[in-house]
Amino acid sequence: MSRRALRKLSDAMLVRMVGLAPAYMRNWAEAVRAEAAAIADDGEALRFAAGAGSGLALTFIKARLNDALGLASGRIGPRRLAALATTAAVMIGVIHLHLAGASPSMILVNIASLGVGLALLGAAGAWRGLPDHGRSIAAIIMAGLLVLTSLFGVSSHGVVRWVAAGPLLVQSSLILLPALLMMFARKATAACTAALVIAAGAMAMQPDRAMAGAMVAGIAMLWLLHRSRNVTIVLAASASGFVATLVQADNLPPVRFTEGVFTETWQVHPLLGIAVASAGALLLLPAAAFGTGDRDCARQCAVFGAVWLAIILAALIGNYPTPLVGYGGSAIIGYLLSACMLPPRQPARDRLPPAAKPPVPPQPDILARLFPKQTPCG
Amino acid sequence: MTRTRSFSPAAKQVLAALLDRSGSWSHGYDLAKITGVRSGTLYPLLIRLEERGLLETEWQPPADPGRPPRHIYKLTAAGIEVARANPVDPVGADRSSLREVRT
Repeated sequence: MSRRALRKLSDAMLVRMVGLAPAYMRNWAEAVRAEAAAIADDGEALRFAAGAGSGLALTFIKARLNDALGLASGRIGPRRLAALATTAAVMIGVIHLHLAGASPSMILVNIASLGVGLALLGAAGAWRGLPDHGRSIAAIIMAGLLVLTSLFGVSSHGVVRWVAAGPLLVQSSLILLPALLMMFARKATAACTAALVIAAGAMAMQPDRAMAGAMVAGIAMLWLLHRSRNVTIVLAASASGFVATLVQADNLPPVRFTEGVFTETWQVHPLLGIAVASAGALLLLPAAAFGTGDRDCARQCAVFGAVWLAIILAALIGNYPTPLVGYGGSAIIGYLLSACMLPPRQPARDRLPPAAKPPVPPQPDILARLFPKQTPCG
Repeated sequence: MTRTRSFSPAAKQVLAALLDRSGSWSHGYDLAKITGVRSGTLYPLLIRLEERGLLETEWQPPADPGRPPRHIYKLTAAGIEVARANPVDPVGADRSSLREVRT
């Protein structure tokens, strides 16, 4: 295909893109079209149009999604989006559990945990409204609970990471650690720093590489976005804790319906595999949707995304709980408890009015040339 | 309290280029050439700058008949302030000059 033909093709693509753009951004696709038309060299024009077109396509799709979900207007904030993502993921998980032959009690536990988590999220305003000293005390208590679990928790194959709650075993690190990390991401106070150093110590006491890795991922993300002495201290402590988990033997066998879920679902049915993988991706939705907005909101959402991405990856590559879609209430409550620490909404951006259309260039009057004015007959 | 946002190296390059020409209008292609920022990065960046009220845009009537009008850009007063507060990093500046030499 000649370069001129390619140029025509890229122009046609940009015309399509004008249709893809929301009304208030339409002029930008027109702008690229006009700019490419002004470049004399066909190859250069093609490169320019193709590059700008791909960049704009992503921007337009994101703007359309934001408009559809009401994210840009602030109607749906990170917290509400997390609630929607959790509900969808847990429901997909319930379908998976049912199809894979899990007992009804497992399904019931997941649904009840969703209810508990959503209730916690409903009360998130009160939690975020706590004064600094209240949050500091809460952080220290949470870290203390993690240490107590590692010391006196329920043991299985030499691993101690559960607390017995009646007939259920609750993994305290999966509930408390993401929330603790989010508290630190919001405000890295001295008390939160101390709490996280204690939590890193608790992680180092037993081989839970998933949670120790999630801690490193969250703090490393925070360090990249907002470096401070406290963040550096916690990064060093969490990295040391993670190394300590690596050198300990982890002989815990996988638990069906809780671990190895991503791979198991593909064996049940590929469509179920796709659904469960999508449910896993849903957990990252608050981070993806709000990771580029207001600075404070973006920082907290990025840490939230890094922590849960690490937990999902650990479930993919090791014998660790599959969050939300597998059996287990700890991850469901832990996800929603950490979502409580997210800001309720991002400050709404000023919406631009519909963009001015480009002026129509003067065209030679073809009709006048084809049909010159004739003197009336008679 | 007013919060300042950190800008990417590409954004700083574009802000610097627009600051150099503050008072006069720039075209997208020229900005891409001067800064070395790819067009796929440049346009989303220009959109964000306009959304934040840092960039003024206008349609320039075509010089030749039959040509489409071109979109032109210059910094607003707020944009000039932000550009001055966010100069190009020294490393970024070196890279930029290398790109200019190569092209």
